[in-house]
Amino acid sequence: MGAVLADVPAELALDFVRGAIVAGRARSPKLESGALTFAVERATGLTDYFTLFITPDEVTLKPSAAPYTWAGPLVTVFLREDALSSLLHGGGLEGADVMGDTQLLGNVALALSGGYDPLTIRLPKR
Amino acid sequence: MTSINPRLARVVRDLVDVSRRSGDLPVLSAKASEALQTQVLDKFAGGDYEGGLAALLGLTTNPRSKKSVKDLAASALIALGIDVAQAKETLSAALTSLAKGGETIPTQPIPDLRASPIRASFRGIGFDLDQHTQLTLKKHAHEMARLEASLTEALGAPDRTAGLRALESKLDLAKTPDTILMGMLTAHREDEKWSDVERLYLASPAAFREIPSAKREHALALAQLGKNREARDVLAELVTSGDRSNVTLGVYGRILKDRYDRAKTEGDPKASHFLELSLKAYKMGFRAEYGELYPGVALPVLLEEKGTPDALAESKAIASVVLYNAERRSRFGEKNYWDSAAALEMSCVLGDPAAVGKWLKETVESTSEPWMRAGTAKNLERLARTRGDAAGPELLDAIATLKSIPATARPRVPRTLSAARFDAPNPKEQLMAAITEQSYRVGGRSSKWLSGNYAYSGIAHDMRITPSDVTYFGRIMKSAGIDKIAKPLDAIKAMDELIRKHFGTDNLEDLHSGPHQRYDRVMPGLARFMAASRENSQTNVSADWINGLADCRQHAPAKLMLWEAWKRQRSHVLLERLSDAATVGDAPKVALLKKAMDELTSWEMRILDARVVDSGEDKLREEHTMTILVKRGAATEGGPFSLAEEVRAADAFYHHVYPFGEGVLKAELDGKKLKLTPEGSNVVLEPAPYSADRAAKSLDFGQLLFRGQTVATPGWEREVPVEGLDLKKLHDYVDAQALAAIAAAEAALKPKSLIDA
Repeated sequence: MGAVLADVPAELALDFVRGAIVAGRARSPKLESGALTFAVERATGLTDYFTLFITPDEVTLKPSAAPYTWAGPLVTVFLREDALSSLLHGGGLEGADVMGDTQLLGNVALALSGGYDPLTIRLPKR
Repeated sequence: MTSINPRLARVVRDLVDVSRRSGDLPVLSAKASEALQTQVLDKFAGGDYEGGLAALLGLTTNPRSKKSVKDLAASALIALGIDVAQAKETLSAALTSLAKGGETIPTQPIPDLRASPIRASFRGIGFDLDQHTQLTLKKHAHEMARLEASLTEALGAPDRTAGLRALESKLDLAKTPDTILMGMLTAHREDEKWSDVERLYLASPAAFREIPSAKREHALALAQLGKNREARDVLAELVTSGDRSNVTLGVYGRILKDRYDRAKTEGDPKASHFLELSLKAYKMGFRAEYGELYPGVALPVLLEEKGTPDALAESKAIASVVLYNAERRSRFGEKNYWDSAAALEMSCVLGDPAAVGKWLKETVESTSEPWMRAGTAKNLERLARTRGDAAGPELLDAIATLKSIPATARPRVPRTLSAARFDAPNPKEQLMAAITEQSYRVGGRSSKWLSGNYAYSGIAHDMRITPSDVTYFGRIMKSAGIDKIAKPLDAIKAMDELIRKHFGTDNLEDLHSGPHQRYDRVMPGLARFMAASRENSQTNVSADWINGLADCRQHAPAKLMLWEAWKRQRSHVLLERLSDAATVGDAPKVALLKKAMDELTSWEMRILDARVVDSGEDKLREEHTMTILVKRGAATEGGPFSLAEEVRAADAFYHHVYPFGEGVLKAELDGKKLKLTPEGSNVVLEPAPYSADRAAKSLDFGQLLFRGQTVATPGWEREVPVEGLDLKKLHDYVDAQALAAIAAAEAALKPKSLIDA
């Protein structure tokens, strides 16, 4: 645990999430717009911000917090980089704090649940 | 900048190679294959998975190959440990859980970012330390990041005035932090949107309106809007309240000069009165900081316009001093616009056609904005008007040349400019070229704007160096009596004693000692506690001094600041004497003082991020940040300081473990790479690959930053005690958290160890 983000930039890891939301948003019809900021605390103690901007037409990832000019619903997830690593390994999201719109979180979760997308890879059970 | 991980690079290399060999990609030359790898890697490292994939898919010719490359890319990523299908499911579950248990807080209005618990501690006031405090700081940092993202977006908008106004309408200005307000105010001033400057200033909270730089911007806007009297009142109040800085007095002189011009045009008999007032303000500014060019540079032209015999003599005397100062500053070869432009203006005043030609060329070649060139041309036009038919052709040519440069033309110059070249025949010049490239100093591009922003491999916070830091370290230096010391090497010895006593360095040199271990826990712990972000972890050098915790990364900038403060003070004293001697026409004394000034200028302190290598075994012992002292020389009398005459160790940190504190360093070049060996030592100092000038401008209006958060407003540099503040309670809290985290990690490992056993 904790090694994945040393190998993969957080931007790339979160871009998987972006791709998965794009592929799965049909399952979540209420997911129209929203900004989901991940405040990723690095092992060094410094925090990196990444925001997924969801609009009816697209989902984009930007390396900063959502600006004040963003009018849609907003969620910020504070988490440590080892928690993000854990997620990518199929573990849980330990010790994360969240603030903002819970409706948006639920809708994103629905878009991510079930189904397959072009990036889905099924692995044999180990 | 995103660092590229070797494993990711290997995965991309395999991906391209296998696709090529399987025939899914066309036959590529080695060079084309490498270019493709770089393109894909850049996209992946920037988080653009689809962009990277698209670069590969663009080269495929049929659907089967497309699918094959896509599958291969996914497999390659699995090699990095990512199971996308699994990750997607667990993230969904995690977000559902957060949605159920999360805290919902309103997006608007923004919390009051002007009040923060950490600010209290920098006023010497204790505050409660608990999880709640930490959460408050975390939210503050996040809101600050949102505001900075908003400001960046507004500044980058096609119509940035509209963008800034839209942002302003979203904010509760009473709760908006100074940095954002100042960012908006500065942008409006740069765009010459004077009504916006005035409106924003007046709508800002009272504490912000008290900041001297904000007041100066307001006064400038008032003057531009024709409210001259109000502008003068604002500046007069600043000056009478004790702000005698060269900048404030310069702006005051400028506004009085504008008033004089208007009175003269209108035939107002009070014109000469305003001229005298303007000259008085400029002279006070000139005397406040002899080492600076502004506002001394404005004086000679205005004195010539006054036209009395005394004024004309004074004009020539001041012009010769400012010219010498500008020439001296330009001898490092960094092509600073203001140095060249000041030398040009003063050469015109002194009527030296050869010097005018030389400095006109330098001015045109320096990086400048249109408003900078317009200011220089305006001053020269004033001189030409005063001289009338007597204006020389070189003066008229200089004006025409400056005005002929299109507003959009911005000469591009390399980031690190140096007087020295690698391809020069003289080995001392080659050495100087290596030193300039592989080490750095503050104010590398401009000694006026000292703000820097450099990271240490991304591990440490960004160190910030501003003029306020020089002022604060000037107080520290004076309190220890270092300003009384005339010789550089003696001054350095005294600086080391002061720094080592302050940080307790004797106990820190051993990296395994208790105090050093505590430092290793508390410093990253503080960044975590303050929720510092990668974009903004800026910490003034002074804030680290006040905080009192240090390893080599704090010692080197502190030493550099003390050195800069000492050198500035010594320069001020010598230039003041020089100015006095020039005014009374004492040529021998002027020559003597110039010699002393040249000697002082030639000593330069620089920071080196070094690899300490065992000379016998060629083995890396550790990486270390330290200061070195370089005695620079010139090939010709008064020419650029392009030679490294001597390199000396000047480290404040290692005095016992390594002999880096003093002494001549044997300096050699291995190709273009610098190698420094202390006398009689078995280690060699080599610049680390990241050792270079990374200084970037950061918004500075005198605020004190600690791990990205403003902890004190301008004026702190005159108020905070020179010995720093007692922040032990904060350190203890952070240390306890770090120790608890270590204990938890060890406990988590225990059962596994037992099973393994």
